[in-house]
Amino acid sequence: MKYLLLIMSAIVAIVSFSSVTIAEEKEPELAELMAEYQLRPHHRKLKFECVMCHEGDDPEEYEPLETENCLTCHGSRQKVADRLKFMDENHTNPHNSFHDGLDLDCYECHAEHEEPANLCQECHTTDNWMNEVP
Amino acid sequence: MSEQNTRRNFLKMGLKTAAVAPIAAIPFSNQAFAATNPTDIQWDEEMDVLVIGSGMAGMIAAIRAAEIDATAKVVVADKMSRLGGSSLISGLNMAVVGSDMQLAAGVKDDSWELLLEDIEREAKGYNHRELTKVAAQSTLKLYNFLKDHGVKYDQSIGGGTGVKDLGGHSRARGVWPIGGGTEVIKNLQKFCKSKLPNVDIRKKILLEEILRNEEGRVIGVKVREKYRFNRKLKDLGLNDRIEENKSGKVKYYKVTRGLVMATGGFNQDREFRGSEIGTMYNAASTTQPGATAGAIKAMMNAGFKPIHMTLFRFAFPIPTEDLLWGILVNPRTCERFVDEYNNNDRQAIGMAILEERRKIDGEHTVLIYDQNGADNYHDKQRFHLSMEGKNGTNGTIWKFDTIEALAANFKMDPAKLKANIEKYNANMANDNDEFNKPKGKLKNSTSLSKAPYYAMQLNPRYNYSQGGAMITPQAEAVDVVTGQPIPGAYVAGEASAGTYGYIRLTACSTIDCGAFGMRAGENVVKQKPWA
Repeated sequence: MKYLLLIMSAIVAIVSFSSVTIAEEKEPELAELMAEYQLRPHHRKLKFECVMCHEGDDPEEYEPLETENCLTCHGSRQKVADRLKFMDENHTNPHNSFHDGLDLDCYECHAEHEEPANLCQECHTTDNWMNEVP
Repeated sequence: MSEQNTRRNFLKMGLKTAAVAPIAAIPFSNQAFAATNPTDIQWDEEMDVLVIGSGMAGMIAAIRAAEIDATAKVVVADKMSRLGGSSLISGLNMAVVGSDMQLAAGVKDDSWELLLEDIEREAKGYNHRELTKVAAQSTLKLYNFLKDHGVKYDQSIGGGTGVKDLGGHSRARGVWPIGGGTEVIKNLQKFCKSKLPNVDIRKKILLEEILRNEEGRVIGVKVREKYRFNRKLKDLGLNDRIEENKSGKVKYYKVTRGLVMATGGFNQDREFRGSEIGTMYNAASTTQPGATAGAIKAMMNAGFKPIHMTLFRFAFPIPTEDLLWGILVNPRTCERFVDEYNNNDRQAIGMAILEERRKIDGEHTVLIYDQNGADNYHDKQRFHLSMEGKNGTNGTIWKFDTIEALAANFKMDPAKLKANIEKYNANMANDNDEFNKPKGKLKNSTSLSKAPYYAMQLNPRYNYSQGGAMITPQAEAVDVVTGQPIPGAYVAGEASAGTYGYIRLTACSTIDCGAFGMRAGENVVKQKPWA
């Protein structure tokens, strides 16, 4: 992924040095893509670009992220579970739950380009022990 | 539908969706499937045994197979990212005859014959007795199997005996693994990881097609790896359509000894269940979201015989035995529509509710109790769970000081509701209920008049599919045309059919998973490899 970042910055550099027409062609396309594939607020604040998460040159070929991809920044399953350790007491920590332990994939609840969906809520009323999924 | 017709339909389906070499099927036009020539396939991988589904039945089958032959490569594949199927989120009560706990509790006259009788009281003649017998006779074997594989039973229930007296069972024989289905699944997974290196458990693998050769033997499957189930689709069953969910990459697995289908029910598939039974489109379901019809469709496509497809089991969030203390009304007319006792027939009451909802654009019907009704609850624990809002989807009961407040909460006309309650009370005083609800069964709940009042939106939840692929007592799948076992094909658990018929008795899904999971595992691994 870092390698891709390098390529991308190289492309950006080339584009900014080349003729105005190319820059105009490239930028609206990226802007359009980023408008279509919105990020969640916390990632938007960090000004993420597509290639920070997705591999490949062709956006059409981008694949959805696996848990391992998320963990390249977020550390480990244990680390994300520890952030909600205060919920362990009642076995309601969604990152280390009664049913799933550390096994759940991030995308079961979290999503970047669409609304997240709380898996616990499929069966439980979670209002009194959970906020909305970020 | 005549037999001829059925055959033709299966043939058509088989040919239309066959991925490879359907030509071979033509000389044998009475086949229910399109035969595959194994040399036409570029196999991506080879294994001895493939188990589809990672719930209780699948895990037990895989463990049995791997224990009997340590050289056998056993793969468990589940389409979901969350392993364990509906077992993972199930309470998992188990009816066990002759457990050490049952004997210690002083129940010494139980027998498999008595359990069979109890199951058959609910089965109403729809079941295949030779299968029901296997389930009834295997309970102790299952109890010990789970114990030997890390599962512990809760001694604290049943007044400290560890044995519960459950509805419909003539003896106290219900045991409960500590932590329910979650712990059963975790323990079986842990066992594989630490003791059975020949078992490989994989997630996000969708079964697309079961491949049979010219002789009819199962030789492999077409799957999609890295499949991603979408919980946001309006009908979860749409996930089985490539137009709606095309995730994953196609692979062909060569399966040399045999395939075990442990794929659960189709409870979450609105279109599929709704085409079996019209009103079922609107039912809620308690099973895991992945319980769609994709697996049974793949089995039908490969000529497996489906039976009991219109049979299903409802569960209410509150005990069926406690419905009769109240009245069930249509919120628009404020009128009753069913005998709330109804011989305690949960299916009939559930269907009546869904039929009523169909008349009012799917709006919920309302169950109302007074204080006497609440006091008469036989299962106070579940009543309190509902009062605290902890009883799952549509499980909450609210309390009201007056009928007016209750009516307002559910947007009902208070005058109409009061008039209908008075009518009910007056009729009941003369034991002349308009739906023939028997006064003699109601203790002191013969009128709705003692405040405060309690109410909930009562909705039946579709929690078990009795229908599925027909099996033999050896857990073999049956070919729809020949009526003979399909070589190399086994089905176990909720995916199979024939054991229970009209309604499955409570605490028995586990023994079906166990009995036929064990048999499937034992038999599949002994199959002579076809290649």
